[in-house]
Amino acid sequence: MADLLSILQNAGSSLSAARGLAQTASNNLENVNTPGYSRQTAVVRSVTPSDRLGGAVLGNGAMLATVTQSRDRFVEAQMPIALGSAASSLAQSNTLQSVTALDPSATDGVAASLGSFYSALRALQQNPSDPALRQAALASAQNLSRSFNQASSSIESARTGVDSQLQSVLPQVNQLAAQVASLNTQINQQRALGGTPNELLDARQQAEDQLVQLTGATPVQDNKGNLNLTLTDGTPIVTGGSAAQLSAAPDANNDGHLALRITHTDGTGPSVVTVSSGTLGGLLTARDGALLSASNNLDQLAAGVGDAVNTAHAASFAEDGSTGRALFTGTTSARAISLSPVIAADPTLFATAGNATAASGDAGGLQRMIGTETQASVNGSTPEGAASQLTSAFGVAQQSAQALTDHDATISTQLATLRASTSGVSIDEETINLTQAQQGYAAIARVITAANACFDALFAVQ
Amino acid sequence: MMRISDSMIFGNADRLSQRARESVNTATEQAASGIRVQHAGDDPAAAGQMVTHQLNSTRLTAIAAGATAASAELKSSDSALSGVNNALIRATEIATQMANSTNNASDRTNAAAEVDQLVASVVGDLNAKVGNRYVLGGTADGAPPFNADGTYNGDANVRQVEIAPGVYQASSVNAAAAIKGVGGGVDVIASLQALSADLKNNDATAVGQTLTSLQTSTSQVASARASAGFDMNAFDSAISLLQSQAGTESNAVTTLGDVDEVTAASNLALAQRSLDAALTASAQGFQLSLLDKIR
Repeated sequence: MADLLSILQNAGSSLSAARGLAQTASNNLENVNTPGYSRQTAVVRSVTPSDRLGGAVLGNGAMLATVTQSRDRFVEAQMPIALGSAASSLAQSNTLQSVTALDPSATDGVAASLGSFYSALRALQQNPSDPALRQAALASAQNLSRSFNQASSSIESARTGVDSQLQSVLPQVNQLAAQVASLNTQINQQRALGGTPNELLDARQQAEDQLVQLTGATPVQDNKGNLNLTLTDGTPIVTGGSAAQLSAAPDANNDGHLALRITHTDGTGPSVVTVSSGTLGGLLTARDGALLSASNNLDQLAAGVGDAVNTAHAASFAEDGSTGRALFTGTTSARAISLSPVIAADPTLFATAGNATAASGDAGGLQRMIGTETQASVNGSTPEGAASQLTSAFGVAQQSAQALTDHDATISTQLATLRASTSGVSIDEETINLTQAQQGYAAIARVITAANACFDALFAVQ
Repeated sequence: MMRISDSMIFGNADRLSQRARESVNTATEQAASGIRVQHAGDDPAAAGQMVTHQLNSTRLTAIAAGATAASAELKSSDSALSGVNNALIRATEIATQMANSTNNASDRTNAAAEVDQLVASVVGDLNAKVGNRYVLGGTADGAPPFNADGTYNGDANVRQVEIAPGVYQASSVNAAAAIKGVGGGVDVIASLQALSADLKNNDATAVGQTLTSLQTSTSQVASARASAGFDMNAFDSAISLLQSQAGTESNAVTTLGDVDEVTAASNLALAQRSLDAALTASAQGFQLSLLDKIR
């Protein structure tokens, strides 16, 4: 009698285990499209036998031991760097691709305007007394200065655009850091109560992935089970249940562009922090790397051409015989260069003559200015060479960023595939698991029916 | 054996079809626009070279345009000098004829009138204008270089125009030397005026003596025409060379920056085929599920 009851008891426990299997499979199926979800596995083990019959030990059925998450630690350890690098190179590449001012075939670009300027000088040099050609040459000088202004403005606007992006990303970073810190606390509380809080672990993993993508932070688990994250310069952004706050402030040493600051997890700060990976790192690298370099190269080209032409112009003579004027003002930068307003207002002051008598056909001054085309006036290069180098250098930066993006995306995608292989839900597999649990459940139910029949038979004997 | 999850199946399908669509998009853009190097990053080395070639092409085209204008001005100068030459030939004929004692005062007065006409014609020729400029005034080209009395208002400067980058060629005739005899020659107009005066004075001997200066004038003008012809030739041969070089530079820009049509069409077809394959494979992968087999 007692043995028949234990069969029923064991069947009850085993039914629960089978239900656990079925519920885990169904939970997996229900979360097949849930982002960040790691498939769960119900671990069923046999109950330690306690019944003996004669000299034999009788089994006591099955029980649900635990429900685990399927994660590949090897893949997970590589994910943060891959995610941070991929986000960094993508942000950098997207930022650089958005700049078209240095496109080689741009008809209104600096290189084209430089060519048009010297062409207009040549046309006027052939016939310096032609007022239409004089006006055209001055217009081309103005066009050249405007091309410099526009290219500079375009690059500067890309740099300012990065500042805007930083400001839009930072609240997300702070919210994710706070979320990871909060989940650290909740996970510890759940663990203290016993069991594995799989859903909270999934949520923390997802928040970690996003935070790593934005900041390139490195995650480290401490011995209490907290997930701590440090930025690329070693500054902690999440420590246990505390999160730091990132902010941005204008940097006077970088044309007022935003610098990142951090209010530490212990509440001190804010102090300047360096982020060199993730979306933030990529944006900053593009802004203060290739874009700054292109801006400086453009300034040098404007200054080199402007100063050389000014020197030639100052040594030449206007129609009234006056001399010593600069053709361009603001030659310190591409942003400031402009046709001299005095000459723009009075084209006769355009010093085209080589002699003070300034005969109407005297093109000596123009020859001097045309001569600047072959002068090594831009850091040892001719204006043409410098324009070509400027385009190539920026192109190399664009291409490298794109190549790095492709490379990082390949690694990141490969790891994501491996992660999905381990942690992703397979509908086929879970359908099999569910069917298996269902059939197991039916079989155990049959055990109860059989035990019940045994009881009936026993009661019939009495 | 690699475990395949549903997120892998759908993720791969998404990624592969996305990549295939990106290739189709790039191939379509290139085939439609014909441009291979749109941004500097598309091919940095080619982009840098394109800038150099484009500037070279622009420069050579500008030099060719200047040389063409200079050549036209020299032709105009030559035409003017040709008129002077014809006048001198006629004046020489008149002088030769009127030096003969058989002519009387009336004949010489009539001849003087013709010579005066020749002087006026020469001055008219020498004040030749191309566009807004008087081509024979040197760099003083804003006003007629010769007065009716033969006074020269121009200067002795010779204008110069490039025939190659940084290489300048004379683009004007030095009328001060060629006509006024500055620097050791004879004053062509003064020679004609002297003939006229001698004819009016009915001085057959003096008329005969003007032949010397008229012949010197003729060779002086011929020499100036030869020099102008040399300059013109230099410009004309430079123009064809410059235009050819500019074309080469322009072609280099096209070669570097534009896509080959056959390659573009081939790339587009290949990309479309890849997309078709990616979509077909994805669709077939989606069709097979255990769920459809269990009833």
